[in-house]
Amino acid sequence: MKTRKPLFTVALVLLAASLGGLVGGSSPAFAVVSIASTGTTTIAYGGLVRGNPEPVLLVGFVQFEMTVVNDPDFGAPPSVQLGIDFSHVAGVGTKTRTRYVTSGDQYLVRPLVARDVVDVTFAIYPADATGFANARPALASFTLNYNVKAETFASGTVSPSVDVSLP
Amino acid sequence: MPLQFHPGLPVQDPLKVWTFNGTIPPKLLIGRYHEPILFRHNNELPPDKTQNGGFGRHTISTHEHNGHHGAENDGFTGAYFFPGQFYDYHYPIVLAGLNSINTGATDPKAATPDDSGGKINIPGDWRETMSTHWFHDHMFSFTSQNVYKGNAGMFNIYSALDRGNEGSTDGVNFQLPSGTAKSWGNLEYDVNLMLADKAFDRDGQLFFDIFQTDGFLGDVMTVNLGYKPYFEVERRKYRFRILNGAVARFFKIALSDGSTMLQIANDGNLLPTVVPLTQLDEQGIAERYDIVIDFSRYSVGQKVWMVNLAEHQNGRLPARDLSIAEALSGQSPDPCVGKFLEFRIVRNPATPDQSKVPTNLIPNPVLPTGQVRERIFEFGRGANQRTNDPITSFFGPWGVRTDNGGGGMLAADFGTISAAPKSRTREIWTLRNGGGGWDHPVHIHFEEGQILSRNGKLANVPAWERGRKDVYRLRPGGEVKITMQFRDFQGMFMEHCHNTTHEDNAMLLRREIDDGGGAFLRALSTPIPTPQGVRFQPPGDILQTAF
Repeated sequence: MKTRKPLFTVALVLLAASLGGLVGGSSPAFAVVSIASTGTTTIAYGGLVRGNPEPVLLVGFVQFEMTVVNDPDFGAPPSVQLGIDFSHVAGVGTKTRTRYVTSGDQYLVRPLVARDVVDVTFAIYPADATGFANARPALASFTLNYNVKAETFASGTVSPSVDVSLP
Repeated sequence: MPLQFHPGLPVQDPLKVWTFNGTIPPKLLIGRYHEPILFRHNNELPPDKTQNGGFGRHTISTHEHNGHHGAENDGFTGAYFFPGQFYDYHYPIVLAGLNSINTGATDPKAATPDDSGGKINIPGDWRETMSTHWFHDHMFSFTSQNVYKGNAGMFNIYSALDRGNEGSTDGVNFQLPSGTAKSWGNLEYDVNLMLADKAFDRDGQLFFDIFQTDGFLGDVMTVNLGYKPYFEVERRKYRFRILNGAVARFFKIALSDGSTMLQIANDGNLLPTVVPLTQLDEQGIAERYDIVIDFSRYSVGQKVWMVNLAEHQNGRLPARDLSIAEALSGQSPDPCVGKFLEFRIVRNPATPDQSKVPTNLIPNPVLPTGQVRERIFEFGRGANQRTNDPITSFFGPWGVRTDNGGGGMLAADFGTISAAPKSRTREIWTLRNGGGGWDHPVHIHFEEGQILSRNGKLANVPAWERGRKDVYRLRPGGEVKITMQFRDFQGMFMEHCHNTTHEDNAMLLRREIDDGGGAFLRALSTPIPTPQGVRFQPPGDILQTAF
């Protein structure tokens, strides 16, 4: 598990991120010819996860690493390798003020399309020694926009809904 | 049980399915540290190699993945044996480092369970303790077909740390979910799951396309060779040892309600710290993920399913990792996406759940300092056929470049020595994916490695890969840098892509662990098995930088 930042630090970083907009960006690859572009960005994230034992208010930012990969050998359409880092998201219990941390970085393969909606779940749990035993899921629904012709990332947003609702 | 994947499916022709003892489900081997196992594998397959049901080869070599054993017991791809013969594999089940670390067996964490609830100290490094292995055929150029036919099983190794007795409270045992009836090795709440996709012909008989060299996919998900299984569970914690036993398919597992799982081990090695997850990472072929699910969150009568999120369009790599909702929607064109294992919560625990999941499990071994040799291995296409021995070489579309780039892309030849790390040294290897249209789960026999970086950064190594591993998914266009120590045993081993279609189509290299003129010849002779016995011949090729 990663070391978590205190909530106030996360909030400060979130502020800086929101002022600064997207960080990183696309750059040409040089190591492997099949990599069309790489980029990083952060997307502010927040919301209220309902449920027992208490609702949890999440705030922070999610860091993305995108790598657009070509397939010159087989000619398949390019894909996007997504690395999604939730470690800068933290929460607080609305009743007990218990601090919550997150776990569940995601590494996903997605097709390169102009607009891709990516729903991912991750775990939140009290930031104490055995809190992980009471981990709960939260949802993040991102809309990622790409410049398909240039094979680069363009922009991203996140839905305010963070509750997991599955059959 | 008869050879049936489901009670509603036909009984399989014995030529189509080759399992240990000819039965389903797959066998589970149980062992404990410092209790050696003699594994006698009798080859009772048809003497006529054409009697294979259309795929598979009757010569076999059984690999204990990833045993810390002598090379002669590793199941080398060229050390195969014929019908009517048997091979005795000796698994000493020792902790790595036994000749250099804790040689006096004084460390209480380096220990094995006895039969009366206690433990016996053993030499070696307790940080090298392993738990979940498997064994499978490794026949040169026929591994995919033979494993697909069922020539595979799982292997649980027990230790004082991972004892398989959740009730033992001696301060060393982690008390992971298992049971208490026996002093060690309880399975009531510790369950092996071997996942594999299968295909069937119009008669319902197992089918395999031997001409598919990109990666063969099935369209039917099986768990322990069962289609549409369900599992009745109590409202308590269970450990699941999940093996990807497919040919070319990656899995990505979640629970249907999105609830959390605790990943405790990767490739048979308990992690330094437990990782709570709602979706496991993509699981490449041969990777093992051990997880704990706490069913006490559910009510009696409820159901929850394991769901596969990784959608394939071909056998080269996953095309798309879906959300849980997408996977459950039934919209994926891949029939292996969605629910594949049903859990029925049927009762409260018969006895109190005494199991625990500690935050901290097994830290990584301390790496020795000093000079470290580095090698690069690039996995790609367009291999050169440098050798043409009809027994030891095979040419296919895939290959591996090494010799730090100077040797060209090599096709498979188990007579060629590609690398020969010196015994009692540590090396750093860079495993590089040479293309963007495929992924490779690369398996390095014998030694557990630690991942130092992904694509140049330690930060890219996720929490569940921070322990020891023996299979490394490269990801498209990706690169993994690992370090390994070579010790205790020497001899002839391999590394290869564990997409077994790629492996069988030339993405495999032989390496040796060089003891510098000690007990072994330098270089070792290549075995050439025949029905009358084995002859040995000098290596066909030794790369300039191997030694």
